[in-house]
Amino acid sequence: MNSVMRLTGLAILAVPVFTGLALFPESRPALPGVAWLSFGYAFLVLIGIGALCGRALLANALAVTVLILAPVIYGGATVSWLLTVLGGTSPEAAGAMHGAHYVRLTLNMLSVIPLALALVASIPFDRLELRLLRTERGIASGEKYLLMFIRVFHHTVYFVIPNILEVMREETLLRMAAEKPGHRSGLHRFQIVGRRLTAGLVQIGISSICAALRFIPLWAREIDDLPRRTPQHHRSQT
Amino acid sequence: MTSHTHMKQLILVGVTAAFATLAFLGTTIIRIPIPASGGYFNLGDTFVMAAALLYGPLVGGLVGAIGPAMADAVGFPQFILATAVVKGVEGLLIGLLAGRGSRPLRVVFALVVGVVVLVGGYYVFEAFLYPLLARSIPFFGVTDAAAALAELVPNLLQGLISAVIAFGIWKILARRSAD
Repeated sequence: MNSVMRLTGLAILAVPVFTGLALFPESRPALPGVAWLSFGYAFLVLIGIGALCGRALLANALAVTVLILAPVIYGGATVSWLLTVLGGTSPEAAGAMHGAHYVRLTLNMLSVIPLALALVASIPFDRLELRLLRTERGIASGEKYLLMFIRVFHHTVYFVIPNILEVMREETLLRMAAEKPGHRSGLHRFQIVGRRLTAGLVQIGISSICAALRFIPLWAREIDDLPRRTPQHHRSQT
Repeated sequence: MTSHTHMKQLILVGVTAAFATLAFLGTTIIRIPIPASGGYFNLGDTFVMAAALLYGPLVGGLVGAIGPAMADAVGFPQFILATAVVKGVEGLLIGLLAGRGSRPLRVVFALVVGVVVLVGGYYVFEAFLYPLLARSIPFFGVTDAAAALAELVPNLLQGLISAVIAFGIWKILARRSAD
């Protein structure tokens, strides 16, 4: 399936949840305050992503979704419940007051997050760069900026970060920083660990920045030298 | 426009893209658990702050508005609006307050203001603006005053740790460029 068809399919699936349009407002409730169709829609979205983008992407998207969803739902619900109980409401009534909201929120996140992940994964950035470079009409200024952005994005995603992660793994940077500092105890020990961790993170930050900026002057010269699209050039082609 | 100016603009776009991508990846990939809050610290904010300190308010503001919002797009799209505004303003203000060739105290002050903007900005969006928007657009119905309150401490920790690391990065890279 090509990218355009995949993006179109995902965009159609996303219409209800991204625009907030209630397609079937009269459906029966599955739980007090939560309609059956909310469950059905979340299920449909997941099936649709699996069909359009493959099971591997769906599995990854679901894993990320659950990681994000769990603290938001449990943390938010616990704080809401505690605040209501502290306000004088009985624990049972406090639970009933917020339950429907957090079930709806769970269903909302189960459809929004995988859809967003699938949409971004379906954008063909590499083909976009190739298309810009292969044009015979010259390149407009805006396209040159776009080309620069795409090239730096690609370099950072596919070369800089994997290298940094590899270095982190090989040099066991953070593990060394977090090792127990000898026989010292209490606050002093905590300070040493904190200082080592900060130094490790500063090192990761500097390495990432230097690696990401490394080729920018070279690319700027190369992109600047590409033929510009001028009105005469444009007319002669048409 | 002269070729020299065009080159400079291309380099500026490249630098913005590099920091925005690092902020995006730093938010989504590099995560360090914080036992105190049970949450995760990520390096995303560090790159926004470092960009503002090293390249000024324009790059800082753009990196803040683009990078972390890209991370939200692939994880929590409802928060794109809040993130783009809050972190964009954070980067802009840090760059403005720190100024060029700045002294450490001025940089610390700029970073403290940045952390206040981060924590306060998210609280305002989550406690007031999103519930208001959700009345007409259910897409934004992902948070409320209680959830916003629960996020205050993790956001503060995130901001403070990011500021400390960004200060370390600035100290080393600014000294290198001065040499």
